[in-house]
Formats: sequence, C-alpha cells, structure tokens
Amino acid sequence: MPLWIVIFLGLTTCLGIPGPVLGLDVDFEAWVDRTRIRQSEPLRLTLSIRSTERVQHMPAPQIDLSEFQVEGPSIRTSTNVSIVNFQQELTYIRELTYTLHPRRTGKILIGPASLELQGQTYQTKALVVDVAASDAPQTMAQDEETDRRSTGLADTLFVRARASRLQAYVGQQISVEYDLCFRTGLQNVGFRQVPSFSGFWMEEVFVAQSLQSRREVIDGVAFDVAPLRQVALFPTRAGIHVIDPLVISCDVPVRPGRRGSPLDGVFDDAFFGRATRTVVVRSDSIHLEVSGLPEKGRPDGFSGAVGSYSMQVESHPAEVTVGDPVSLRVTIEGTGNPDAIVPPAVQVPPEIRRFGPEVQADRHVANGKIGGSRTYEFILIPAVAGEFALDPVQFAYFDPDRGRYRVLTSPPVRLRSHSNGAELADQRSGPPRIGRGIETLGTDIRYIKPDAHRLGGGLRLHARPGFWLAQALLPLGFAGSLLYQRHQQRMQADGAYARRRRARGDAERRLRQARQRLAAGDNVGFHAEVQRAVLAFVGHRLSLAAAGLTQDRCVQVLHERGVSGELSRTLRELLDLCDYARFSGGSATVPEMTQTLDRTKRLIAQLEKVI
Amino acid sequence: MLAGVFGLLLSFCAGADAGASEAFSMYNHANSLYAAGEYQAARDRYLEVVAGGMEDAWLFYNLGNAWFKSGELGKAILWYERARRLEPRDPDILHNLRFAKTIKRDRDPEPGHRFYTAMARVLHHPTLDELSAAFSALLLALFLLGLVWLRRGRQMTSGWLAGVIVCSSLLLVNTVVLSARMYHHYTVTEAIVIYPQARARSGPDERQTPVFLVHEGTKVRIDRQQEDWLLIRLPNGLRGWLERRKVEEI
Repeated sequence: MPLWIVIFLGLTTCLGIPGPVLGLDVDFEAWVDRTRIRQSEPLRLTLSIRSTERVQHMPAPQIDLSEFQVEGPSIRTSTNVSIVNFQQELTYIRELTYTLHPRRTGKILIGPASLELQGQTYQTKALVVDVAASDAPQTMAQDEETDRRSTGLADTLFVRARASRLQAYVGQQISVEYDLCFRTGLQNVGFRQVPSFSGFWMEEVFVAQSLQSRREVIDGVAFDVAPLRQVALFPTRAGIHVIDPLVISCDVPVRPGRRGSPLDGVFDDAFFGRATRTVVVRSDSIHLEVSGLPEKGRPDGFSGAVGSYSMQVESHPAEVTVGDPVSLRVTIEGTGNPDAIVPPAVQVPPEIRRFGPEVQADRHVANGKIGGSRTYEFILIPAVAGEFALDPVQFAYFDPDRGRYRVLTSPPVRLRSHSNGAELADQRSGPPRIGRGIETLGTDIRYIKPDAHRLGGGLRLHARPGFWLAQALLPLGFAGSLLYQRHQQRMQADGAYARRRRARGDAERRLRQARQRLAAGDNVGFHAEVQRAVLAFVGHRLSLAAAGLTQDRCVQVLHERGVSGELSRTLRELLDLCDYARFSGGSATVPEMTQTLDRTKRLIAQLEKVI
Repeated sequence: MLAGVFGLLLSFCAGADAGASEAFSMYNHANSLYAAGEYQAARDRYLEVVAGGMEDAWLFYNLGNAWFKSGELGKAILWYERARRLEPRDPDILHNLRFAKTIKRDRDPEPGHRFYTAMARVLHHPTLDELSAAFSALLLALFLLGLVWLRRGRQMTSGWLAGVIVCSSLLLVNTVVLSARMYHHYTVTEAIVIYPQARARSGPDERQTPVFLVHEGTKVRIDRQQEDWLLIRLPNGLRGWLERRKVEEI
C-alpha cells in the first residue's frame, strides 16, 4: 500500500473523519437481560453492532417483536480502544436497547435480528424467553442472585440490613436501615421486593430517591455505602418476628464476550466497559424477639403509648366572666408512636361546660427516631361565678428503657370566674347556693328583639350622594359669604371701584328713562337721556368727573386708553346724533329712536369689555 | 334654628324607605312564630322581609336566632355579624355572637397586641351613620363659627377660638376614622363559612390539592373571585380557594 494511503487512513481514523469503507468487519449480536421473567416484568433486549470502521448512516436492524409491547429503542454509541501487538485497534459500538413487555406467557422466540449493511446481511442468533404468569412463584431472583455470586460480585455488592435492637417490647420503636454497599459501578438501582413488615406498625423514615454514598470500611474493605431505606417499626404483638429481605436490582458493567480476559480489571472502568448486566441483590432477613408489656404495675388510663414522653398543661385566661371561654391546652410530646397518644381525661365540675378537644398533631424524625406531639385544646365555660380547681391531668405510658410504667401528672388547674350583669339579673329567679353563687342550669342565646312599629335601621348616609353634596354646600356657602363681605367693604372704601361696579346699572337706568321718553314722544328728552347714559358710563368706568366730560374729551380719553378707532367713531356718531337732535330741533321717527336705543346698548356693552 | 339646619342637611339626603311600614307587620308575625317555637317558619318570614330590601339590626338579629334554633350555626353567625355591622354596641347581638362563636369548631385567633386591639375596638365602636352625622354636625359648627367671624370682623373672643380648635380637631379625627371605616366597608369583603366543613384548595379547581379545612361559622376574608371559586384568607394568613356556595358574604 502506498505510503500516502497509509497516512490518509491513519489521519482519518485518528480524527474520526469518515473515510471510504474498504473492508468492513461487523459483529452483530443480540442479548436479553434475563431469560425467565414474569409477565408483569419488563425485559431488556440489546442489539449490539460492533464494527471496525465508522459507518456514517447505520441502517436500523430488522427484528420481529410482535409478541411484545415495545418501548424504545434507546441508542448508545461508543468507541472501544484496544492494543494488539503494540498496535491500536478501534472498535465502533452501536447498541440499541429495547424494553419489552410480553403480551403472553410461555416460551417466546425473539429474533433473529437482521442488519443489511453495504450489501451484506448480518444476523443474530434467535433468543428464547420463558415468560411466567405474574402471580406464579418464581425463582428468578434466586437464580440471578446465584448469577451475581457466580460472577464474583458477592464481595463487591450487597445490601446491608440493620435493626436498632433485636429484642423489644410491644409498641417499642425499632429502627431498621437498609444500605447498599458496593465497590463497582452501578446503574438503574431499583427496588424489586420490599418487606411487608407484617406484625408491625410501620412509619417510613427515609427512602432514597438517588444514591448518595459515603465511604465506609467494612471488615477491612472500603465500600461505597448508600442508604436505601429506613423505617421505624412498632411491634403490635409479642413473639418472634422475621422481617423479609429487601431485594433490589441494578445494572453492573460487564464486557460481553470478553469474560476471562486479563484486561477485565481495566475494562471494568465506566469509560471502557459501557455494556451492563442486570443483577438482583437481596439483604439478609432480620429476626426480632418481641416481648409483651408487663401486666404488673399497669396504671389505669394506660392507652398503649410506649416511649419517652413529657406533658405540659396550661390554661388561658386564668380569670373570666361567667359564660366566657377558657382554653385548656394539654400538650404531650416525646419519642414513640405519635398515634398511640390518646386524649387525656379532663375532669371538670358540673358548673363548667366542657367542649372539645381540638387536636393538633405534629410528627418529626430526630436521629432516625419517630417522635411527635399531640396538643389537645379543651374549651371550658364556667356557668357560675367562683373558684374552681380541676383535677390534675394524667398521662400514662410505658418506658421501655427502664422496663416500667410511668404516669405524668400535671399540677391542679385553677380557674376563677366572676359574675356579669346578666347573671345578677337571673339570680332573682334561681335558688341561691351559699358560697358558690347562683346555680346556672344552662346557657343559651338571648331572646329575640320585640315587635317593632317600624323597620329600617340605618340611613346609610355614607352611601347617599345627596349627603356629600349637602356637606359640600357648607364650605362653598362660607366662601361665598366671605367674597360678598369683601365686595361690600370695597364698595364702601374704594370710590373708583364703586363707580365702575355701578356704571352698567346707572347706564341701564338712564336708558330705561330714555325709553319712557320715547314712548311719550319726547324727541329731545330721549336723546338727552341717551347722551347722558353714554357719557356717565364712560365717566364711571374711567373715574372721570361727569361734569367736565364733553364729547371730544370722551373720545380723546378713549383714544388714550387704546380703544379701537371703530368704537370711537361709533361713539362720536352717536353723540353727534344726540347733539343734532337736541339742538337742531329735528324730529326723529320712532323707529329711528328705537334703532338709536339698540345701538346705544350695543355700544355700552362693547365699551364695558375694553374699559 | 341650628337643629333645623342640621335636620335639613340630613333630610336632604335621607329618603323614606318604601315598604317599611308593611315590613314590620311581617316581622312581628315572624316574632310570634318564633315565640311559638316554629323556628323554621319564623326564619322564612324573616327572610321574606329581608328579600324586600329591608336592612334592620333587630331583623338580622332575630333571623340569626331563628337560624341558631334551626341548628344552622354558620348562618346564625352570618346574620349576627350583619346585625353587628348596623348596631355594633347592641349587647344582645354581641352576646349571641360570642355565644355562637364558642360553639363553632374553628377557634378564633388569639387577640394581637393590646394597642391594636383597642384601636380596632375604637374604630368599630360607632356606626357609619353616626360617623357621617358627626361629620355633618362638626362641619356645620365650623360653618357657623365662620359666619360669626365674618359678622364680627377679626376681633374674636377666646371662646370662639377654642370652639374653632375643638371643632377642627374633632373634625380631623372624625374624618380619619370615617375614611378608614369607609375604606374597610367598600374594599374588604368578609364572609362566613356556612357549610359544616369545607376544604380550601391550592387552586380554583376540585383537582387541586386541599390545603386546609374550615368549618361552619368561621369568618374569612375574600381576596379574589374567579368564576365559582373564592380565594379566602384566614386571620392567620392561610389562603386557599373555596367554592362560592360554601360561604356567604356578610
């Protein structure tokens, strides 16, 4: 082979560049994780394609799986490197894993699978799986356990079961822990079978969601130890109890077809050995000896609580009015089965009504032990006035560490109630009890209100817009009064202001007189009133003396004030007209005088805007 | 004259309630049914009066009694609460409400700090009508004092000045209290659980996780509404969604 071809092939191989397939060596295999299963259990089928060259577009293998419900496949590709005679050999591995659920029982034939690649057809061997009914007794677990031992995994993988004690009383808490100890890579760890714990009340303390391992030396060998499960058990009957093993399954790495190779230790590493095999691991059984609780010394009121407890009793308030409630809280807490705590007996005198209890439960885990508290709240309502001493509250339990019963006793609970007015009123009809107040026979709601002559209590003022409008009138009225007073004061103190304010009214009054002259046919008088109205208006508005105000002076002042020439011209024409009518003796007609009157009104209105 | 002006201010906004004269005869009939021990019949008559739009503390109180005697604790507390809103100092209403609350299953929360408890008691002592009338009276008094000032000029007596200070201060306090009460009245919606027990859920759906359990007679605050579900809040801050039919607004 020419040197450049060798270099080219070497480069493409090292760089992973797909090159021309010269002589493809393909190894096509199929295997299942188990050959005997129950119908309810899944089966894993793996098709492995191992080739010496990288294939750019690998076709899908063909296989008949009609006897199964199929999930997958999940595809995994890897590259295996091996050194043979000081030369590197690369193997490209493509694995397709199917999860199969058998549709029937009996022996089921799988395959063979076929693969067409570059004109060549490759086939696997056919596989046979024995499927049993779901409820049929099986020994697969034992078989696979045997398989685990035969593969030498017994020293590197096991489940450790530990109980906090092997001898206990009925009701005493026993903590059982299961740990997975391993020295090999693990995948897909799952519970296969959990103990039923018959004969026990069981509380779950911990269940692993993922493996959280720590290093631990067991019998001189370092293991990774991962807690799997922890439960708290409370025996319900005496006798010898056997806790079944906990069974798990997991995948451990193996190299198919290479067993016994001197390099197995190397290929156990996850980097090289990606092929796995499912194994089943079981813990040992646990034998427990449970004793019954002693009859001797069993106190009255013992309800079966076993453990270590404390009790607190408190009442609030200490003094109330008759008919008002008092809260009595009894809290029992400790280590043991919280459900074994029952409400304590609270004895109250007949003068006190008792309600409840309301229960508040709390549960906690401390140092792997179940504990908790129960709070019982009683409501006590004194029906009469006086001082009361309630009997102490008691709680009995069995202390397994000391092997004897204990009774917790609270101090006496004291209550004081005093009378209210209503009770005093009722005293007239009730028989007196010397030293203890009135004996109340019962409590009830008060009677209904009597008949009414009208209904409809509230006015709902706040919801009526008219109410708020009326409130707004007050400040507005005050503001108006204030402004009016200021106006009056200025009218008295400021002559110019007063004349300006009066100008319009004075002009209108004169024009009314002019209209009367018009009606009387007094031509001269009409024009004289019109002329006085205009001149007086201008004089008032500009604070000019009316006596000296002539037509020319009036026009001149308006001009000085910047009044427009059009308005001045109109004023001059009107005043000229009045002069002419007064002194020439000419007689204007009624329509002409009416027109003059309207013209005067318009002129005054226009002047009011500018001066 | 002052009384006349004040009466005018009030009468300006107060209209006669139509049908009030007819309602009281039905109310009295219901009272006679209650006295005869026919609580359910009395309750129905009271409800007819209420359906006519009548709002009266005595009516609500008696209706609460009828519900109580009919064994409906939640409804009884609901109507006692409604009566208390109209007559917050009526001893009968307060007694029966307190009595009913001692029987209900859910305990009321412990009272908070004394100061806040006292403040809340002061705030809810007067009715809204009383606060509104006081507001109107104080405003009128200030208006009249202002007129005196206008009439007499700026040389006012110390008595006039004291009157202005007192009225202004009272008006300020009244305005604050009235505003707070109106804010509470128009923005805070409270309700009473009327079902024996109801599960509040984490969302407005039957499939949502139950988060707590409430029993009849418990007062809740409504924060939000969504279709047939209400987001309720307990005094201790717990929040959950409850079906609308299981509570009734006060």
